[in-house]
Amino acid sequence: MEFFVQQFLNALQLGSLYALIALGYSMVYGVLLLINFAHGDIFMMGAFFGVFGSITLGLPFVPTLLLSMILTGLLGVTIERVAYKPLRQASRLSVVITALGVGLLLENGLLALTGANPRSYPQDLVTTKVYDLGGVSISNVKIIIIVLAALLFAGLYTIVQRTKWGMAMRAISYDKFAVPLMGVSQDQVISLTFLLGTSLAAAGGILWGVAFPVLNPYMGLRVGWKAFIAAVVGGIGDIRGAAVGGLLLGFIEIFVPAYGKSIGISSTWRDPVAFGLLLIILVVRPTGLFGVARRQKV
Amino acid sequence: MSKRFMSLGLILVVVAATLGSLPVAAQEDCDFVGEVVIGVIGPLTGDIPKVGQSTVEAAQMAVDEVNAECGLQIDGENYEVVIVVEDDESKAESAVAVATRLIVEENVVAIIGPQASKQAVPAGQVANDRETPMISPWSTNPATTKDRPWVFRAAFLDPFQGPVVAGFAAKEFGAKTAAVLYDVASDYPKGLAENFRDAALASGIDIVAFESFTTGDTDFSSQLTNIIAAKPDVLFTPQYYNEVPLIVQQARELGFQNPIVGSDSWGTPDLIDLCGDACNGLFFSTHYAPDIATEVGQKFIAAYEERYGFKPDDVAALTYDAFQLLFTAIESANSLERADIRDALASIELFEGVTGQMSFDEQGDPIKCAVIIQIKDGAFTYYDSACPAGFPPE
Amino acid sequence: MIRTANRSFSLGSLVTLACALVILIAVFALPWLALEDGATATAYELLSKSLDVPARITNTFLIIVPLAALVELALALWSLAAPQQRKAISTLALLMGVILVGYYYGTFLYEDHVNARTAATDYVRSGFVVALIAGLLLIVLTALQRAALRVPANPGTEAVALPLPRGWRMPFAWLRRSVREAIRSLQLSRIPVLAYLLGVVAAVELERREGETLARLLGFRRVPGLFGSTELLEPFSKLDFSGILAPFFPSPTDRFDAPLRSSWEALRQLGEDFVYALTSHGPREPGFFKVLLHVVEYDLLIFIIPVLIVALLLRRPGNWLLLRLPTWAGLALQIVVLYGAVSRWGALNDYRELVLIYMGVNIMLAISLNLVNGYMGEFSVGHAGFMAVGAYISSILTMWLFVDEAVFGEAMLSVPDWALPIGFLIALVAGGVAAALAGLLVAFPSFRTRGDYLAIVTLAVNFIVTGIINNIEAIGGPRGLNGVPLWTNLRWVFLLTALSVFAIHSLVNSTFGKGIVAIREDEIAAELMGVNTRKVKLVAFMVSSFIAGMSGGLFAHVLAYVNPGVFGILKSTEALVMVYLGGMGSISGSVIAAVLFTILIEAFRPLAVLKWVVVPLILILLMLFRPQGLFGFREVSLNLRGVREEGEAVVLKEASDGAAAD
Repeated sequence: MEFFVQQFLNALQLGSLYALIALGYSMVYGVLLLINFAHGDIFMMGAFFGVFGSITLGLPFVPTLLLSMILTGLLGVTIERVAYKPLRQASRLSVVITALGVGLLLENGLLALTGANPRSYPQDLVTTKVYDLGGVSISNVKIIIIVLAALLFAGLYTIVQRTKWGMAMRAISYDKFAVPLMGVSQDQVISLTFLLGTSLAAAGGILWGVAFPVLNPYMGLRVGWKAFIAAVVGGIGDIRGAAVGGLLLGFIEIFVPAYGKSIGISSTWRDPVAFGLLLIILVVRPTGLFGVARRQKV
Repeated sequence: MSKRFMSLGLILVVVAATLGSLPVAAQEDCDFVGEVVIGVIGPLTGDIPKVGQSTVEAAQMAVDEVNAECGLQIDGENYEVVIVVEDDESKAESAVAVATRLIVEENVVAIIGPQASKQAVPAGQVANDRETPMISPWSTNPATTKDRPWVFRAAFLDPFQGPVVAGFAAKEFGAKTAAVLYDVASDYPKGLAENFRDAALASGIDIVAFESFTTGDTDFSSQLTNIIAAKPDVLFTPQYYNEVPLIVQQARELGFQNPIVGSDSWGTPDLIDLCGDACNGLFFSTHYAPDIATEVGQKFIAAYEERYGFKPDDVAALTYDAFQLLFTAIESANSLERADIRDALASIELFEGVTGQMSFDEQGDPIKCAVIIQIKDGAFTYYDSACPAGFPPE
Repeated sequence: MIRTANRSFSLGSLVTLACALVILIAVFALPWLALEDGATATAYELLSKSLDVPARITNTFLIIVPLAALVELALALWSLAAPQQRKAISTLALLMGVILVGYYYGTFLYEDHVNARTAATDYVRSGFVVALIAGLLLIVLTALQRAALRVPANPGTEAVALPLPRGWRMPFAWLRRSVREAIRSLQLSRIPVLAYLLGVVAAVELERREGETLARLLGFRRVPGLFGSTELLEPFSKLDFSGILAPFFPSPTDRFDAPLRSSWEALRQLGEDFVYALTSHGPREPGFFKVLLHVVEYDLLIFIIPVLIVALLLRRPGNWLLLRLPTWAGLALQIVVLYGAVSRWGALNDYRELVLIYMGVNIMLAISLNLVNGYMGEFSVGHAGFMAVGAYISSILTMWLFVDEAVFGEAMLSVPDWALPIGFLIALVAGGVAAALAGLLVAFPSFRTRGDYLAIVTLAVNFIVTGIINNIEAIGGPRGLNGVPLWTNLRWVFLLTALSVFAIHSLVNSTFGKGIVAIREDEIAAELMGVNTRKVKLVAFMVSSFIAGMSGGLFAHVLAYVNPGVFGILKSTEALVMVYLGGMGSISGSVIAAVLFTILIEAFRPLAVLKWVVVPLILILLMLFRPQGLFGFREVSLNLRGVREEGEAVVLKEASDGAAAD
């Protein structure tokens, strides 16, 4: 029982992080139908801005988090304005390839400009405390991550569902030609979406850096692909789907090694099994868990 | 891009170029009669850029040092050492391409690198086929040098290191049970993990958990929870210095209190900074201990720190040793023919390097001792040593 | 108007003539060079008597200046005799002038100034001044005359002719226009591909004979590998950017007290290094400008000019021959000539051959992915997975069946040596078939799952394949398979690449293949029109992964080693980049993109860390300015079947010939 609770908490932590990153993917996709392959690297930039805030400026945790979210949000908007906006009329896939290029540029550019030494946050950014509750160890970092992720998700959900801006976002994802006719600036809505999506990625990056304090420019690569998978499995374009997809991926990744042995799968088979499961989900539900099949007109 | 900007750019470039007539570098006092061109291959980009950076830094230092002493002496004449650095991007195909390029286009006398086995194995094939000596400083896969007379390495092999660590765990902690956590998709940790398992089983230690993850993972909580549930006396994790802090910290957070031991891939000073207090008191096996290093070692560490501002890691030390081996071989061969250099390399006996004394066996693998290091008060401290049977000869 | 232009032109010819004569006299009569023993020699003597050239003198001078002068001389004479040829000729004359000026910048300004043999350089300097003045005169003069020609013929009003181009950006636009006009006047597109290929063969032969000498004269240490592209960026290899942002993102080991100041220091140092890289730093490490000039000169003299000459000469015979040959024979002839050119070029050294092999593998990878992504409109992002399957299956087969090595022990079959190629082919095909079966893993889900969801399926398949290989101990797991026989050579790669290109080309142009495109345009409509979408998808995915698998097999047998890490997401990304660089739905685009990409990767090697900053930058810029890729949804039109020359009767067939070329 303790074993299960422990693994459940582990999965919740990892899943929350994946969910935070998947949210940004999903929001941008919902509005622009763009798979922003640079998202993983924007997440990495968020973590690195955290290094800037906490070490170079010596800020405590919350200001570092906010600073990084703001800087990364601005970076995201800039990327959208410079690299994606000129291509809004072009084929969808040329934007995707541009995004791929932006991602490569960010990670290798940062490597070239800052060198290869791994980074870390100061130990006192979040002083780790471990509580032992009847055989289950839980650290304050885990609690912070899970709670903060839940808060951010709730906040985002409120923005998208309850505010005018959120309505505009949903409207654009519903019909991007009609909305400008209603007097809503498409550009502003898209910028706002990028701002929100990338600052969530930054929050994810900082929390990731607190939980796993070894940062390097390539850290966003794998995480980004995985969050993309999570967003799609949840049903890309739907923020509840992204959250559920992220949690699902976290649970699969934790529980396959945890219980696989009892059915004869050693932990070396984690990746094939995890991705096989996701593949089956997509075959059974071709538009993901929350995705709605769009009707096609002929 | 408008033409206006293009023209402006062109004009700027021309102006910049016109302004930039700079004085040439100062002439050396040595009268060099020629050059010895050595190829260096390292992963400057890709998964492990830090390894590439250390490679280049150590190589540059080795070359500058030898050139400051008028290069290599062949037939009483001074030859300047020149290195050509290539990036293998952590890709096998790039390693093959750059090794071929170095051999046929740059016409190097020998190659130092590539570092990781993934690149060193195919590049070794190229070097062997084209009869060019190659020393991989860091590769531990037996296939790199196996049946390849032209390929050497500077690091010791997993079949030696695994038993050293297992023996240490049994002796020091009286361990009856052990667990292993390793990266299944990377061949160094996997090879070492398996060698450790076999050696431990042979010496009566029970392996209660043998858990794996994949390169790039940062969350090990699931595997560590499994390991903790199995209650091992000691945890062995042959991972790289950038993964060790995560493993150690997560293990402690999940309530694992028993010792954690590691291998030579821990041996980077960055480990201490990244890991903080969590790593204090842990042990690992490696090539040399900075505090009891030989004279060569002390000199190297001091010079490296002076030049780059931080302490060298194991990659830097092994790369530096590979260069010293090559220099020794070239001077004792007294020739720039690749075949002569190879023969001289193979016949090196009891070479005194930063990472200790070493000789090559018939496969081109080094025979050398391992030391056990304890991380104590934020420094690597000598604890014990273990040597292959009959080495060094009395 | 026209008369004015003509008059100014003949004046221009006269001045050109004068310039050319001055330069020739300067080269052949003036004592340019101080020799070791204090004697002097003219440039001509140096060349003809093969005296030892003083080391520091740039030998380019001896080739380019007389050559330019001779061409100028010929042009001036010709234009005096036949003034109606003015456009092409004046442009060429202008180019000569540009080369002279470029030469001045390239070699004189950046020659080492602190030099043991300054005296010799001093001698040369005066000659450069002559060349410079002549070149400048030429440029101004031609500009004047071209501007005069361009004044609109406006009858009635006496237009005030503006002789000079307006605005400072004009010269470049104007230069581009003139070059384009000159090129158009040569009618390059009417020259059959065959003639170009023969030109390439001639150029390659020229390089084999004279390349070494010319390279040494130009100051290269060896014959430039890939048309000089690998030498070009070497001056920048020492640049270190890492200090610029490092102070703001310190690692735990670094301590920076004043981040701004140390960042500024790094930036300043970088600027210094950059200028240093542009200019010369000693004979062993020439600056970028110098290398650029030498590379241009080498390529012009060895490749571009000979190819053009041969192609122009063979234009009529080529067209004549191709029109009379059956289509297949013409194509076969061109493929044979192409193979001849490629193999002769590659035979010079192993590195070139290796690059050619990578090119072939990349071409196969790119066109196979283009079938799915470009023609069928799906978004497959895990193509390397199929490559991995092909690589492993074919390697296992060749190692198990045909060679003795450590993993599988002795060969199962004892085949005579002559039969080994057949065995290799069987193994490659088996690898392809296995990959095609793995393609089913994607093909079946694609019946229901579409678009970005299918993209995830392909990605998952990529992860699953490499994950499974990691877990199979018998084939080495993460350690990989070592001891794969080194059987891939240029012949195999060329053959299979040509076959793959042909197969995909035939497939997408067949009736069945129209179904693939129909799925891209609208799947439901396609189904309504009677396209069996399931069958089409199955075939497309299987053909695509079959070819990817074969490319994987070739790849494994040139690395002599396979490792699951080779076939990760990064390899898939590279394939994607090649497809979208070349353009979706374009075979020729993919081929060109794969060739360019391979060369680019090699050429950017000296940049080390910066390489993967520059490559994505190029990708982004290309996408911003050409969102459809280089050749999106269209093919390069090549004159493969010959065209009728002027004077011959024009028949309807010609129109179709032009359109059908691929």
